[in-house]
Amino acid sequence: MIGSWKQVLDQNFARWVGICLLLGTCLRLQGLDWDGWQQFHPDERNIVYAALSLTASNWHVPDFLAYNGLSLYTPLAIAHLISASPDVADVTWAARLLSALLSSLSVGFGCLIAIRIGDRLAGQIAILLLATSAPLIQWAHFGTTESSMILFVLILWWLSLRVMSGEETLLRAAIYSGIAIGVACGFKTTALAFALIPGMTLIVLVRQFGWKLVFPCMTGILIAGAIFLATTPALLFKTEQYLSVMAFERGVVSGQTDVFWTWQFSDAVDVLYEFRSLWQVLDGGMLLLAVVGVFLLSKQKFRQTIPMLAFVIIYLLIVSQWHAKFIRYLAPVLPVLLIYAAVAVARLITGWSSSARVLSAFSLLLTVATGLMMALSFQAEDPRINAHRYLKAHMNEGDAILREPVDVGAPLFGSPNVAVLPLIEASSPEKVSDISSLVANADWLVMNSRRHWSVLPKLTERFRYMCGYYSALEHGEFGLQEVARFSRNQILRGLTYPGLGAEETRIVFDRPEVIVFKRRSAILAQAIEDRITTRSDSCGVPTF
Amino acid sequence: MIPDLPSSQVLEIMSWLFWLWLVGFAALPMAQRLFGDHCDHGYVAGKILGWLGFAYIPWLAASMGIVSFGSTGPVIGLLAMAVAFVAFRPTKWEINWVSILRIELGFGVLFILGLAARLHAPDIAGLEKFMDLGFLASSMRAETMPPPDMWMSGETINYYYYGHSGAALWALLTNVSADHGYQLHMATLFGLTGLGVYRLVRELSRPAGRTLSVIGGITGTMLVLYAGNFHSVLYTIFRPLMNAVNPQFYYPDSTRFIGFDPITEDKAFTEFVAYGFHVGDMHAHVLATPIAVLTALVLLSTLRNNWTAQSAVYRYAILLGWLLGLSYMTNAWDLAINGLLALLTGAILLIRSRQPILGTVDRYLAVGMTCLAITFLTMTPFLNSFVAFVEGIRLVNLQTPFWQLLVIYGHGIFAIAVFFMLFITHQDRQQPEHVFTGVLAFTVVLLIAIPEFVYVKDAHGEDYARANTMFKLSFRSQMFLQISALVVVILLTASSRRKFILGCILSVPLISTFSYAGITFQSPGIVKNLDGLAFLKEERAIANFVNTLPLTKGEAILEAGGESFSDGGRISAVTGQPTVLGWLGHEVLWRGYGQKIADRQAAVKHAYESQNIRQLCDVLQSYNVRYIVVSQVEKTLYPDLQDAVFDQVGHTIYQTGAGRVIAPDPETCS
Repeated sequence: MIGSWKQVLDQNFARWVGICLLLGTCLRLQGLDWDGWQQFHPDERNIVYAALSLTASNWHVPDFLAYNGLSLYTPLAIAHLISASPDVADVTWAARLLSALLSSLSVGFGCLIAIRIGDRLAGQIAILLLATSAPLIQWAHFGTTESSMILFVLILWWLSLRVMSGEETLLRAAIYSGIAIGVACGFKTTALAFALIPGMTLIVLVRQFGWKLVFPCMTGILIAGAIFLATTPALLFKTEQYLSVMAFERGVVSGQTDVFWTWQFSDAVDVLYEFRSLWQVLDGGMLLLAVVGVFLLSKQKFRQTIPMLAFVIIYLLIVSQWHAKFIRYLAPVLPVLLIYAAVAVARLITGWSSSARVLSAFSLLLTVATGLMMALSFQAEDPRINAHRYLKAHMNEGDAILREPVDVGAPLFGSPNVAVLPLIEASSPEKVSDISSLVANADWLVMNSRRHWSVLPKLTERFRYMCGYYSALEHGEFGLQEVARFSRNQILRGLTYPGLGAEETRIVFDRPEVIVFKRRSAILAQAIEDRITTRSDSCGVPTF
Repeated sequence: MIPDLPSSQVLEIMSWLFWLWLVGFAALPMAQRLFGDHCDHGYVAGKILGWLGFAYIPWLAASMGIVSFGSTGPVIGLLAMAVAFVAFRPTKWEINWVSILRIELGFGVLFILGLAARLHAPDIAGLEKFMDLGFLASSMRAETMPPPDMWMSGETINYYYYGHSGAALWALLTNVSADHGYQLHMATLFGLTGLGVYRLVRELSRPAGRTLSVIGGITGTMLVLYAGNFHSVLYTIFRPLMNAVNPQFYYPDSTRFIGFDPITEDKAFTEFVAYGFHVGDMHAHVLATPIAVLTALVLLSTLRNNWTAQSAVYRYAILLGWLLGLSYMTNAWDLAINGLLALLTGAILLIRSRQPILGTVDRYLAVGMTCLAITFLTMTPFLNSFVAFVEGIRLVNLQTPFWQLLVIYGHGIFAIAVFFMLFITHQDRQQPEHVFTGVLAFTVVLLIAIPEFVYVKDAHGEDYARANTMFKLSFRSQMFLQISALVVVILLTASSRRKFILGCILSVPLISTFSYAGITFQSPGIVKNLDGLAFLKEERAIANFVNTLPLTKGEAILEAGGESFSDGGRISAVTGQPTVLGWLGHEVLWRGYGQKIADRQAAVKHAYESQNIRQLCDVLQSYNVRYIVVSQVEKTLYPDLQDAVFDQVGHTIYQTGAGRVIAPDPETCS
């Protein structure tokens, strides 16, 4: 039976690849308006506004330097194709379109790579996995740089394989690699790490080619450098500010710069956190299969993939030592793992072991299913927009609304009656007093995501009273009662929604859970303050 | 009997039976592929399979929000069965209509007997019938699954509701009211259980010859549906010898023995199928009984096929996985019980295999993983919204005195002990029927033993720590004990003369449990009306009116809540219209006693007893109350009820001698 369906797949290879490519593209292109163009992704918002602020006179010195030139120029250029004077929505759409298309290209490249290191069946399985990978689909819906990073990693891997197999000359490969790295760095400086791939290729080949490697290597470096500078002129014209931004980003990553969005990693254990993240986004089975896939490679093919394996190991070792452990840092290795997993599935599913066949088949089905559910969820309305509608329908004229700091929310939250809780201010008696006063006077309280309530209560030394605050809120001791809860509708959400232990950016940008509280009874500010301080003596992370 | 029923209800019954037959027939092609080894070529198994399959696809689609359960569920279910029929129908198909007619007649008789069993006390009140009816009624109104919790407006049911939603779908298909659906579904459960047990006993006693196996099948059916446990024999016939605490035998005593007679601090419930049907609660463990029987039939067929054909392996694994998933959603305990049966069966096959060990282990591992994966896939939509309320597994502090275990299980335990002694050495252990009888018997032993070592901690107090664990395991073990003991008796009587005598001796305690039938058996003559709401008396008109009220999603009625097993929450239970808070104890069991429940409890009390319009308005607005019920139960449960206050917030839209329904005026409270 297995032989027969393998034959069918082989006979329909082109058709299968075409269908998967089309599927992957459609899954990425649908639902791009997942937030009603409300700019709920903060990094994307920064990119869009920076792009819009570019003019003929300052195009080379953008205001936002955390992302490099191409991240701003390409969406702006695309936006100009559809509108003479593009606005925020146009540029956002362009950025997301670019991300989706680059991600779709990755699907194709992944197939080519899998065929090289495995066989045609591995290629067919890889293209299905990449087309329906939940994290890849999610990133494709953001106008940030994850999709481009993934594509360039795969391009560099493909080039490395061609060189290792002798199909490509060293010089040509160096030129192409230089272009790829240069363009990748034009999007984000992080791509400099991708130089490890051609670098490791050269190291593997040094015995074979010796001094002949020097010229191609230098050529590649020069080309990469030239393209990088051409696409990121700020490095030349705004060097000090650029380096300052890079230093800030380095500080955030290493934990030396204190920013609230890395507080979630206060109790993270190096390597274990990354392992758990990979396990979750790869639905468990695929991670195991990726490891198995490496061992199932033939000797020759294993040798050819040594540069990429080295890159994955070194890259993971580097990022796992960082204080910041955002899931996007793992983006470059995700497709690599999926391709190795595809190789494993192709071998196991046609192998002698029934249990291996079953395990592979179900892992594959699970990954495809979670990806499809992720994609479909972008058709659902954003929970913050639903919360906004709910508030508009239920609030009275003059009602006071409280919201949490630095958290994106509905457009309502620009009105004069909206106050912000000073939750992340430094701990002090005045802070508790201020919070109590605000809460006592509020008619509504909105938590737009879990990014504060799942983090602050754990930081008891730094924020002595936040645990007590959230505990009292959860137990209704502020006279505020939960009246509505909104989340992005997702089929089988219980199976796929990341739990509290997951890195928050997996959900807080596009699928947070919004909780709305309403005033039910009047409680004096002093009573609220007392309840916060009392509960702070013994409380844990709320469960809401 | 039938002539006494109103003609409209006769039509309801006929319609119900017709759809049951049709759906079972649609499942027949599939059943024949799986249960072709049965004497009836899978007809009985197919009937149960169809009954289950009809409800599954609509539930799945509604869980994903694809279709409306209430309005399109029945059509989706029928379509799914039609597709199954077409997909599995062989090109050349021979049907034994005579055999089908015989079986359907048998089912018809059981169905009527089941109706009689239900309708001897037709009121859907007492014990947990309110809860079961409420789940059914709520499911009938539901757009999506899980259905709204009729006792906590704005929330969905957080319990094993799947069986109730299946019952609701049948009620929708046959266009009957919720209470009629309840009665008819109980009769269906009775009939399917009886039919399934008949088939199982017949198959297991097949080596004894046709005559004995038919007698065995009928006896087994009657045993499971009507007979009690050994307590019901010892504490009636031999009562003077038993040192009983109570002066007289009362039929629930057989289910409330351990910890009750004598009274100790370790109380446990030991119910059984006949009792379950007699008290008439359409509770989770009763709903799951036909699934347990079908699971046993599947495992028997698996053993018989001996896993020779590769394709057959995965077919059974997929079906078993699906049944295990349904077991969990209907009655969580059955996942463990049926899973244990499956595990033991798999272990037997593994041990008996003569293939090379590595290949064998690999193959069985693959099949096991397939089964587990399908189980998980089946359960996933349910788990999507279900929050488990058990608190883990603990070691027991106290154990049941051995003599009390003998009192409960003595009617069959000696038979299976003899079976093990003879079976270990006998050549017949190669026969799959003998092997599976042994599996059933061993499962019984394990199910009896487990609660003597561990229990699942829940909201019950220390005195009743083991109660629920013992209840659920004992309920299933009693049925398996009756079946396996009876089969042992039959197999012995078909053997040598010595074994015949032994079989006769062992049959005495088993057959003597039929004395309980004096309580459980009801003559079909009492089937006069399907009405289950007569207990409402003067409040019935109010309930009927509330049933017609157009509540949208999130809106609620307000009625008296109250403690569990009280009259509170009755309107929401019989109509499925959600109320602010129904049975407090049950909501606490399902959700834990948190601020939410405490707030609602206080809110309902304030609403009925406060003279403050503002307070009343707060409650009405907080919980989106569209209609307020003020009737006899409210006046009883809230003695300080301020009736006049309600006129200040709204106007009466319905009134009878018993009470009234008020519609609050939105402007008054805004």
